[in-house]
Formats: sequence, structure tokens, C-alpha cells
Amino acid sequence: LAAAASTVLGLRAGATVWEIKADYRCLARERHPDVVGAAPGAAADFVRLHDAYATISDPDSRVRYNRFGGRGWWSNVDSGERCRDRHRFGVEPPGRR
Amino acid sequence: MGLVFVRCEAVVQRRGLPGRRAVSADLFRRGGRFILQPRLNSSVLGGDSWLSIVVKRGKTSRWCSDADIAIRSTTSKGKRMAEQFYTVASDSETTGEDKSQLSFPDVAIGIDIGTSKCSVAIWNGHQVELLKNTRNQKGMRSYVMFKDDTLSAGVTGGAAQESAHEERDILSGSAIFNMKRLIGRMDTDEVVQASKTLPFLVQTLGIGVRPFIAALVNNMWRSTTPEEVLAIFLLELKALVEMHLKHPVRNAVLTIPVAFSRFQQTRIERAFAMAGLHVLRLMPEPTAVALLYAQQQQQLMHDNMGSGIEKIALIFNMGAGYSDAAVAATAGGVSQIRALSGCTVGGEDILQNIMRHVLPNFDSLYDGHTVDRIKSMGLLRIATQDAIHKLANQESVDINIDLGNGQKVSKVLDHSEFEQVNRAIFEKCEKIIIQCLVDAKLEPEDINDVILVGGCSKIPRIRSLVLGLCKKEVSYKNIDALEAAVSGAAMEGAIASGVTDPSGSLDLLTIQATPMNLGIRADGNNFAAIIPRNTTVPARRDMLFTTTHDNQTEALIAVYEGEGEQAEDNHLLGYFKIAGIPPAPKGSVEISVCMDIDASNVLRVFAGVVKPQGPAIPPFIEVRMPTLDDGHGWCGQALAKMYGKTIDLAVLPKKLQP
Repeated sequence: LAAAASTVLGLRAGATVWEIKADYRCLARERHPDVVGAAPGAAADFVRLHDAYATISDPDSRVRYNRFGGRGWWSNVDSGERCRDRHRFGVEPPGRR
Repeated sequence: MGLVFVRCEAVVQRRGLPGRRAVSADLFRRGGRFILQPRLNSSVLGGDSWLSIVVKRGKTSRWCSDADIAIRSTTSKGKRMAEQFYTVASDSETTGEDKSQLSFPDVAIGIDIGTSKCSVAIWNGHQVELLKNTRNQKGMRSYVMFKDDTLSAGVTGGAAQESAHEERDILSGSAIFNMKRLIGRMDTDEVVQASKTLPFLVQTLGIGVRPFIAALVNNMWRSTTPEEVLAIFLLELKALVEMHLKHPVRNAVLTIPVAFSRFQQTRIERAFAMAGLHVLRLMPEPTAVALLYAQQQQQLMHDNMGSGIEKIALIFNMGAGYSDAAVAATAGGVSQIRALSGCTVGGEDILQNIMRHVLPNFDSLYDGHTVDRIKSMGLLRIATQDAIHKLANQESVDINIDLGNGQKVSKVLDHSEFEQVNRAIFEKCEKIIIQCLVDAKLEPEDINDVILVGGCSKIPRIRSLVLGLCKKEVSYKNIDALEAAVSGAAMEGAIASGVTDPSGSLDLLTIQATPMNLGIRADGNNFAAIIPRNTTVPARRDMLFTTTHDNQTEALIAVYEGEGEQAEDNHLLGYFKIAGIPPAPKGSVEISVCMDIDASNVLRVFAGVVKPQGPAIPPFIEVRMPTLDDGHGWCGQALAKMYGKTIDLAVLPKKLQP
């Protein structure tokens, strides 16, 4: 995975699609404007988080993103901290249990 | 819960003294409570001598104007004093009344206004509770009765004691119902056209303005508006809630159909404002159901002590006026709306189809709205409604009615005939479900649960259709078809009011998506979608456009919402003009149009010239949408007549990425 988008999500290289989803939910739980309130920048912050997630999680746009190196419209985001109780948000693929 | 602050301006007024002063302050949100802290260098807020505070941030003061605010007073020495609680008064209510007794926990109520029935629910501290009216009903008929000088809404059921009497009264022409289908629609709209066979008067001129609606009072048509009717209904509903809670309510979370345009949303908000309620949030109906589902799944996870697994639900909601479908993915209490779609077919259309089927000269018979015709139309409606309900549980049903004036209806209706007559409706339902699955990029096998809600979900054909498309044998069982939406709305109301629950049952988040494409008119009459449907909210997207004529100095930005490929097939939300574009050959100027939906679902459009650059370029324009108040049917045509193609825009082809 290319660096910038994975930085937004706080991902390590080689993350599975389920880990990406779990991290996204986990970060959304912390950063969504419904959670943090209508502070200025909260919406923009979440839009960046979601765009990064949408790019990486969608197979088509992931290919495009990797090819063009993702000319950083989200690279100015501070790196997200990894969620501690990530397992809550569904790291495992469905049906594996 | 994070502590976030907004720098804002508070207008303060000292009790007993005239005049207001502005104080700069920081507004914190901790939990659900807003805390206003004056900045150290501003004049001091001390003691209890402050009467009203209006917090203004930019042009919006609304979101916090009704909230309780705790003022953490700061003395001039910067020493903090004890916290005191104040109520923020809105601009309109600075009458000097002491508001301090209103410092109750203001939890938003959940309201589901259906085309046919309405329900209201609250978070009572432990769980969602649906309120009942004096007749012990949770689902109250949505109508307002106009009689002499008195008005009564369906909340209490007026004077009628039995529901059979009530139904006959509703259909006497003196009651207005189906407000949700009429609100915010123009008289050219096919839904309005279909409403002309209702017992009350719906008059259309077909020119794209609001229809004229009226109720029969003492043999006279008394005119009203859908907003007014809804507001009267809401007043009664509000009184019911306040009687139950024993304190005033101000905020509400309301569920709306997916197919509701932004213009219709503003009409609903206006009706709420007329009833003294503030709409904290508008939730598409299936997303409220998704929230309830997310809570149940999270509870299951807690019970199993296991790790969360993503569950995907398809929700299909069909009421009397609208059908909606949604795909939601949920894990860990976070429910992400992957796709939404909706259309304006519902039980009312099924009813009308059957009425036309059993009485072929239905339309010509009820054109005139004479008093005896209204009465016989009411009889037909009741009998048909009854037959449709019975068909859910039996193979066939007899319809026998004497409509008076020698008109008699005698017919046996069975399932295959019922399905044949309503085929177009079932096809529309199929279409929105398939569209939802395609938009969510999912196969039927990916769906874990199929949730069927709404009054029409009891129709066997609807059940088999939805389950068949999702390749499932049974639907999800733990959700009540009629109470799900209002329960979800009440939960959202509690969450948005900052209520937390120790057992974690409110530890939920819904990531919403836009139900319809948003874009502008470009390339002739085409619709260029800037924010496509199912984009996660909040959202911000931009697109580049260019001029269509050499030396074009002005450009029209006409903002539309909808699914049509032609701009005119969609809802016009507003328009504005960019002037002062530097003269240049066509196609060389770059105009950026950016659309932004913020956290409170407000749509703003920013537009301006980005190429060429320099001091001679006019500043960007920011417009909050919708700007249109009425008559959006003919505004587009008027613009076309006035300007033709002289100030059109074209989509600038995307350059290849380097």
C-alpha cells in the first residue's frame, strides 16, 4: 500500500481488507463529527479519513492509487493512532469463527 | 467523549438592564452539554445576572441556540467560580422570561411521521419507549380534522371513540391527510396528480407551483397548506409528549423517506418550526432501522464476549407513501450506510390501483368532489383497504359495497389478480433493491440479514420479492416492522443529545450517505453530478467546468438534485451567476464548482474562476442550498427563456494524471 493513505488510517504494510475496515470504523468512532461535535475542521478531517479508506478499500481505486502514487490530497493529515480494541470492529472475515 | 471547542461570540444581556453586548468565548462540548467559557480578556460573566445568551458562529446560531449551556464563569482575575447552568434563548424569545427552570435534560425525541400513521418515541434513560395516545395507540393516524372553528389531529383521534367512526370522519372531506406525500411538491408532480382523488380538495394548475389544498368545513372549501396541517398535527403530538415527560420538549429527530428532496426537507423543517420544535436531525427511514440493527448486533457481540464481525443488512421499508431500500454494514456499533435508494410508491398507490380495478369509472366518477361523491368514495376506500388487509392472510376476498346512486361494487379479488393489478409497483420495488445492491457492490450472498419494515411489508408478494432478490428464506425477526424507524430515531435523538448509557447500548455511530446525486446543469441540458449518490456524509467534492462561448463573461450555476440524466428531470435547488469572467476563447477558462455537505447535512456550493489567476478575478461565491422557496417548476424554464445558452457551462474533460 502506498504511504499517504495508509498513514491516514494508521495502517501497516500488508494489512488485510478486514483490518482496514476495522481501523476505519475505529477511527470513525473517534473522529466522526457526530462524536467530536461541530468543531471547525472536524468535517474536513473525517472527509479525508473516509476518502483514504474509500481509496484503499475499493479494489479498482486501489490499483489506480498505487499506480499514480496518490498525489497527496490527504497527505497533510496527521497519522492516526491505531485503535486499541480493534477486534470490536470486525477484524476477522465473516464466517471464520 | 472528546472535548472540543469552537471560538464563538456570545451575546449577553444583564437582567434588568437594556441592551446587549457581545462577548467572545469558547464553546466546549463535553458529553451532550455545551459549556461556554468567556475568553480571559473579554468582559466578565459573573454571578447570575445574565439573562440570555445567543451564541453566534458565522451566520448559524441555530444548532446551539436551543441547547442548555453551562456557563463556567471566570472572574477578572481568571479564578474560576462554581459552574452555573443557563439556558440559551433564541433570538425570538428574549422577552425577559426567566428560562432557568428549563434546565432539564433536553433529550431529543424521535418522530416517525408516516403518510398514514405516526409514532413518537423517547429514550427513557434505559431504553426506547414508544408513547401511546389516550386511546392506547402507538401508531396514530396522521390527519388533521377541520370542523367549524375547531381543529383536531389524529394524535387524540378527535371526538370519535371508535376507529370505524374515525376512519369515516377522515374520509368525509373535512380532514387533510397524506401530508407527507403533498409537502414540498409542485402541482405538476405525479404524486400530487395522484392525490386528486382523495376526499379533500387538491387543485392543480399544472404550472409548477404548490397545489391548492382545502378541507370541507360547513360545505365550504377552506384552504390550507401541507406545512400548516403538519404543524397542527405536530403541536398535538408535542403536547402528548410533554404531558408524558412533564417538561417541555424542543428537539426532535425525524425520519424521512429516502426519496425526499432537499426542498421537501426544508418544508418539513418549517412545519416543525411552526410547531415550536427544532429538527436536530433528519434520518432516512432505513438508516434509523440500521441503527437499531447495529445496536442489536453489538449487544449480541457483548453477550458472546467475542470479537466483532461485520454484518451486512438489506433494509426494505414500504409504507403508505414511499418505499426505501438501504444496505448497511455494521460492526462494533458503527453502522455504515453503503447504499440508499427510494421511490414514491407505497400502500396508497396499491389502494388506488385496486379501487380503479374494482370500479373502472373511478376517475370520472370522483372528478367533481361533490358531497355525495365524497361520501361514496370514502366507503369504497374503507372497503378496499379492508380487503387488502385481509388478503395478507387469506387466498381471496369479497368486496361488496353499495356506493349509493345505483352504483354497486361486487367483486372477488384473489392474490394473482392483486399482483397483476399492482405489477408496476412491485417492479419499482425490485428496481430500488437491485440498484441498492449494485451501488453497494454486493452480491445477494453477501447479505447477512434482510429486514422488512413498514406497513406494506406485510403484503406476501412484497416479502417474497425482497427475500427472493436477496436469496434468503426468512427475514430478520428481532425488529418490529412498525416500530423500528421511530425507535432508531429516538436512539439517534439520545445519542445526538449526548446521552450515554453505562451498558453501552448507545455506543453507536451511523455513517450516513447521500441518497441522491447532487450536481449542476452543464453541456446543454445535461446533469453533471458533483457529489454522486451514496457518497459518505460529510462530503466535499469539486469539479472543473469551462465556458461554451468565446469571451463569455458570465456563467450560470444551476444546482440540481436527483437521478435523471437531464437536468430538468431533477429537482432544481437553486441557481446563481458567476460574473466578471475575464474574456478568453471558449474552453480556456477553468471554473471550479465545489459542493460541501457538512456534519449537519447542510449543502453549500462554492464556485469561482480558478484559471486564469490574478487580481482581476472575481472572488468565489458561496451559496447555501436550497435557495428556492417556491415555484421551482418554472424557474428553470424562465432561466432558459431569458438567457438561452448564452451563459452555459461545459464539463472540462479530466486531464490525465501525470
